[in-house]
Amino acid sequence: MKVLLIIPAHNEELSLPGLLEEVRRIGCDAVVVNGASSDATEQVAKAAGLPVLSLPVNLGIGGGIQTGFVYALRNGYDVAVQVDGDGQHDPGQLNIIIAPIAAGEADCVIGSRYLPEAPDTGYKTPFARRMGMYFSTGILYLATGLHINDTTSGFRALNRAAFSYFATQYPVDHPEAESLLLLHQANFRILERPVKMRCRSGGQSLFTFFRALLYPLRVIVGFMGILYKTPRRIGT
Amino acid sequence: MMASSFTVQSVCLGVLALLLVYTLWLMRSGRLNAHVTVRWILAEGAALLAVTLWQWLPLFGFTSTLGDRELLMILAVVFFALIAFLILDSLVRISTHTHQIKLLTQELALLRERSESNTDRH
Repeated sequence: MKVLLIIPAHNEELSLPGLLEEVRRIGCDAVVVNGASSDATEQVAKAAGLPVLSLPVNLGIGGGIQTGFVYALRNGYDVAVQVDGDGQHDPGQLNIIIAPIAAGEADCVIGSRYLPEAPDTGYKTPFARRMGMYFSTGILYLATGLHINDTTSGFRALNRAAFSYFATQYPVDHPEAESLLLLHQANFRILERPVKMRCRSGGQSLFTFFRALLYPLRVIVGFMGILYKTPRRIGT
Repeated sequence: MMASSFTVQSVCLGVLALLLVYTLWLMRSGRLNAHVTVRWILAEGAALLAVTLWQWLPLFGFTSTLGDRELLMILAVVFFALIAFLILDSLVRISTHTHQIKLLTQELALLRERSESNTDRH
């Protein structure tokens, strides 16, 4: 089974070296998607010997990850795993989220910090992010009946069918919850598996206090768009 | 006077309802970005509410002594509908171009990576 790690990075020159060293140690294929960084993110990734998809303009986290899915699709990978470039996700836990896909139990597996049976007690979630997560969990449950404990986790594995679907349509801003709605609507199976996460090792989070205030509105709007829209791509 | 006022109000509500349906159709057919559409639905909802309650709004009440409340409302609604239509049309184009630029940006990054890996191999 060919597995590809997709590492979206925007101004992550401080976090990236440690993460890429961990990736090298597990010996898995990886691609770094550089979202028009103004620092040395691209050089750091190239120095590690990894392929780098350098976007000339920043397409946001959604556009970056989608570029990785297209790359995985064109290069014949069976599983694509999203790993944040800030070093929060430990590539050493890859097998935990890949196992259900390998066993054919799920199409998308989320690495979860908040599973009631195995919560990540070491991870301190900032207040604004926690509120945003409760909100997106609630709205996803209302829209689909699907109860996901960690809707904002960016540590996810997808099988080829699921990432092929995302290669053609993927939300742009704060795509985590919206992408789960898309998967559910397309009848993909979603599972959560407990993982441990770390605090970011450098750089700044994009989830600022101001963004956290706007997050609920963005999620509502995004959900309305997905629930109401007929399946057709803009511009086609 | 009352019958005339009711007719003017109905026509204005009809125009705004058509605009709302047009906006929803743009969103459903994928021509308009969802994030943009919701703002417009809110704006059109506010306009519908204003026309429904126009007799009680101070803006229209101010001209009541002049006897041209209906004219003012017609002008306001026609102006709103015209501007909204023009902006919606521009937003449809912007949504399409934004999507096309995203695809081109992604394609450029993928081609650049392929070209660099081919160069490294040789």
